[in-house]
Amino acid sequence: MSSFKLYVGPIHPALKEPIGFTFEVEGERIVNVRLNLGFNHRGIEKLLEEKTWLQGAFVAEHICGICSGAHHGCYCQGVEGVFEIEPPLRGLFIRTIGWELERIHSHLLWLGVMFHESGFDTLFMYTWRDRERTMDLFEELSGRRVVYSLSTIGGARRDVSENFLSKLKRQARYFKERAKFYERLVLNDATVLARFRNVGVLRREDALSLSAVGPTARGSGVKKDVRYEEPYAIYEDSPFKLVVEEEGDALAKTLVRIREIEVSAEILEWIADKIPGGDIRVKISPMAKAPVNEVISRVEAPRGELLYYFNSTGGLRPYRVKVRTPTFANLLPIIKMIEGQYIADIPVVIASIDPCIACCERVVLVDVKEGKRKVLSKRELIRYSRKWFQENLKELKGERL
Amino acid sequence: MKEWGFVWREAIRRLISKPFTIHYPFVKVEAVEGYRGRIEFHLSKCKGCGMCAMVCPSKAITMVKEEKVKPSGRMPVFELARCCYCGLCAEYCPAKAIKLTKDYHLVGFRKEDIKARVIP
Repeated sequence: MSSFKLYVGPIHPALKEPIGFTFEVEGERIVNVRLNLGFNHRGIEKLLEEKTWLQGAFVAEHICGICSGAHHGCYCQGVEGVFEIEPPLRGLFIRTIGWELERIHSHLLWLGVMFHESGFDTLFMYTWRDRERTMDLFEELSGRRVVYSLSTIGGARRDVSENFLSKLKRQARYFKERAKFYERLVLNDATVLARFRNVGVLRREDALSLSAVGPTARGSGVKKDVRYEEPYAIYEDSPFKLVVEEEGDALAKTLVRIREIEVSAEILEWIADKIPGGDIRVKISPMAKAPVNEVISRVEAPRGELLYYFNSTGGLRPYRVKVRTPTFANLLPIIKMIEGQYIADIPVVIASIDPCIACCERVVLVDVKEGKRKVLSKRELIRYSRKWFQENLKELKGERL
Repeated sequence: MKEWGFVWREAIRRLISKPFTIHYPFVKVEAVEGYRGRIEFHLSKCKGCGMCAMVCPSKAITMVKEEKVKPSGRMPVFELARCCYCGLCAEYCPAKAIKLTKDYHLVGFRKEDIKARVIP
């Protein structure tokens, strides 16, 4: 039987963000998939080079709306490394409240999306109602519901009150209860099992060779978590437990995320009990000049490992900032996950990695001579390269031909 | 059927409890204390040092001439459409002339509706 090409995206009901997939199908089965990236360009890495160290934190925060706290915290952690300053312990505790609350918020959001994709809208409403509580906590903690700007270079920006901590503890208990409810429901419900079990299986070897990160890797039995491999901030002392599932299908990824909500709630309860007194930040001047340095900062964002690379040549602004977002690492495993699946499973398989396309695309071509920026699609790039070779082939003769 | 007891319990509990959603434009919702909303600028406190314009990450603040402000003779103008409400200007203002209020209603039909509140 000859195969047929099915193009999904960049604008498609199954996808919330612009990304293209070309599926090669035989009947109802998918044989192969090609990813088409590059519909969403934002130029944030270039922008970060034009901002001061402090301003950059607030630009980095806007890379992603859902894991903005992880981006913000990772940036601040990296810049603290560049400046070689040690934030006070209370500041790190407050920062971790933000990180863990964000994980609960992101996983609940993802669960809702996943249930919605599989046609289970009641659970979508349930999870999003619970998520609303995390938003309220964020509003009280930082003053905003979405882009919280909780950290700063040298610690946290706002102190927490005793009142808030007791409220946090109460809510953490509630999230634990809800996580248990969802776990029980997912394991018992026929609709969920029919759509999630043995769908989009990512084998352990593939997860390792394609370097999947976060819950996508942990769902395939890979022990990969920055909090586990290289405990940053306060995670070494915290009651953090690594959650790993062996099966690698969409159900395993769902269970990993539900159990992570439980672990995060436990960490929050521990923080509410053990938060030390003292300063929350070391103040540095907003116009501070950094020493010559090179730093890599890693944080476990809700979707997986988030990496920031800083290169400082000693000045007001970074020389280069490179961001590696978890979705970028998790896009390649889709190719392995989707092979042999039905067309109808596409939404669930794609949603199972928790894609955030807006975070992962930041490619730009810069014409240095004219100072112009150009964003090329793949087709434009091919056309450009052909033209360039036609014009410049004579000069290249000695070198290439 | 035994394992479905917890689902029924949940369903009945939600059936008799109040709705979780709020009819927002008809019901007023107060923001919490410390919310970062519309910027309030106190002209009398300002010294015109320009620190706010320097730290602003989204270049939403420009300094313009204003004779009333002493000693520098200039004051900041806030363009809220560009503002990301990070609150850095309020944090680094040495005279504490900038505040972020609880007002989150940043919609309007006129340009004046989305401007920072200036208190002389």
